Amino acid sequence: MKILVCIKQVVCSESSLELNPNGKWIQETDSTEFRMNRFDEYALEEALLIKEANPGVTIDVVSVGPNRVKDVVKKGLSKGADNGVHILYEESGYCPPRKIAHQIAGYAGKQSYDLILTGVMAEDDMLCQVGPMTASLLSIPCAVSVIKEEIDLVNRMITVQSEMESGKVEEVILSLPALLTIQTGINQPRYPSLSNIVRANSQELIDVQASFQEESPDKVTLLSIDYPAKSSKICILEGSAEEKAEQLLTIFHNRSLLK
Amino acid sequence: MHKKQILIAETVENQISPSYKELLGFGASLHPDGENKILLIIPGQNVEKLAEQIAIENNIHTLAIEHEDLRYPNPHLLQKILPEVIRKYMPSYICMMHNVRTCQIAASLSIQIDAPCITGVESYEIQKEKSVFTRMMFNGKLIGKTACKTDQVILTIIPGAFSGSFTPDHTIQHGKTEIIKINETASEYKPVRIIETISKDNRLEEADVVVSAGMGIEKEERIDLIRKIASIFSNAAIGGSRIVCDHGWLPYACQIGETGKQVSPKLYFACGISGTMQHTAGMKKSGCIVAINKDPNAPIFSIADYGVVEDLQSFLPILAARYDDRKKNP
Ligand SMILES: Cc1cc2nc3c(=O)[nH]c(=O)nc-3n(C[C@H](O)[C@H](O)[C@H](O)COP(=O)(O)OP(=O)(O)OC[C@H]3O[C@@H](n4cnc5c(N)ncnc54)[C@H](O)[C@@H]3O)c2cc1C
Repeated sequence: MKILVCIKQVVCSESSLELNPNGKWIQETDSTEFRMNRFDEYALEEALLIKEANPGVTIDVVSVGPNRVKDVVKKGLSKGADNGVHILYEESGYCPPRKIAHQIAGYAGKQSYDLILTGVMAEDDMLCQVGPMTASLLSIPCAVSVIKEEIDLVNRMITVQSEMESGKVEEVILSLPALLTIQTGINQPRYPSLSNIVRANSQELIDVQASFQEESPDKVTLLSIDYPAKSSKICILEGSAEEKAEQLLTIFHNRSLLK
Repeated sequence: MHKKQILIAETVENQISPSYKELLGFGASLHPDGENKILLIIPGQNVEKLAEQIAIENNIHTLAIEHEDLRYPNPHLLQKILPEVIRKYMPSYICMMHNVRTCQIAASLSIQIDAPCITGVESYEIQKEKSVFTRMMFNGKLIGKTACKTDQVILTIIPGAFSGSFTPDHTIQHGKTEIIKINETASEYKPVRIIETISKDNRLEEADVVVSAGMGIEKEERIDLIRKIASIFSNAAIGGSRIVCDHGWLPYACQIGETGKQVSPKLYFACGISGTMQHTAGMKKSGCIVAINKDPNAPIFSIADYGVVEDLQSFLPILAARYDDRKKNP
């Protein structure tokens, strides 16, 4: 069985984000920190668990983007993926889901994967679109926000639990090949092992040039990004930590909430 | 000039999600001056009567799409059925309320009909006759403005973001209902059942105060700090972000948000929670929101009433100690 895991490199949103001069994307500097999209970590871990439970599984990880995304592909290898694929897409700035999905589908279509996994959402654009778009382009079934799956290789089926709102979960059976977007909580992503780190450092990545043949022009434009306005009603408490604590206690007390 | 809109409601076992009213309100607001032509699509197993009733109540046209496998929201089947309906009706906007399933429908439709798709819309404005849509990015730390170059766009709308109510269009005498019964089956995607996982424990819903832990607590041991703070209130319960529950630091019964519990206590005390829309969906209706976060730009501050920019590891013990002092020396 062949599994493809699609991973995105995102900027660490815990760090402070600066906008680029035209306000259309964030400014990338030498000190900008990137990491693997949190949701994709769970997708990769799920693939590794499937591999451990079933003989003869190979895992490819793929990422679309400029050369810096090679880092997350290597990270995928260091966690235990067999092959790393980098689809070089040199456009600077924002790359919308439709373009990424076209690149992944273009590559995956030639490789006959049985299962394609990716995170439920990318933390940077938060659109939740690449997974279902890729499945649609490949004409394979897709389940989103998956928190459990069970593969039946004999009948080439996969039973998944796909999360809905407010604690409801739907069970769905898909035929393989299929694409799943993975939700957090399904597993605990592992840390890279030393032996895999060593292998990842020496292993060549599969370099693929982006193909623009089937790509329809993107009709969505990101005009600008900006910091959100602070709530107009907000009161940011000032002073020393002790003074802030006192102010909070007064607020709680005035609302009769304290014991 | 009039613009046509297709709005797609969601049903589970023939029960329509009440948020369709919000969807109607949003649809009507998209084109306030012109004649709004709205078609509300209601997919489900057995929804014709429901579609008729909603058509009459709201004076709109409705379309019931029926199939056994539509008893739950079924993005796979809908992406096959909807393109033809859309081609016939030629809407400018195709809108759904936002959740992961509708995002899936939106994204797959976007490929099927080759139209742009913007998910998670929080507001919009008209700039030079083009609609510009605003949405959260970077875990809520930035907002992005997006426009499209075509006359047809697929949108998913964040619940609660639009308050506009729907006034029926009186130029239509009676809302008409059409029905499409689907025969084809899709063996590659079979819905089986829905499992309820949310705990019946109502402590969170009944508490006056919810003290909530996010990943800012960094370590499981610091849940004790949260418990200590909860104990200073007369009626408090403990909640958490999804990631904290994913780590097993709190049980899932404590998870607040889109996929957890929705609460509206008198006080919501968010400790080390970034405040993405998936979390705030579960607590933004709280009476008063107090947030502690060491990052002054954390998105939780855009909905909080009081903000404390501090490291909670040092701040919460100070808060607890000050409370104890007050108790001893009132
Ligand atoms: C389909 C879907 C459904 C989801 N449903 C939910 C849901 O129901 N509920 C939910 O909560 N999430 C949900 N999520 C996840 C959500 O998007 C966020 O990832 C999650 O809420 C983030 O949790 P957090 O705020 O605890 O962690 P983080 O985003 O990691 O934020 C931690 C915060 O703590 C601050 N911090 C760090 N250290 C300290 C310190 N020492 N002192 C003070 N502050 C500190 C940081 O500045 C940061 O703001 C869902 C996601 C998806 C895609």
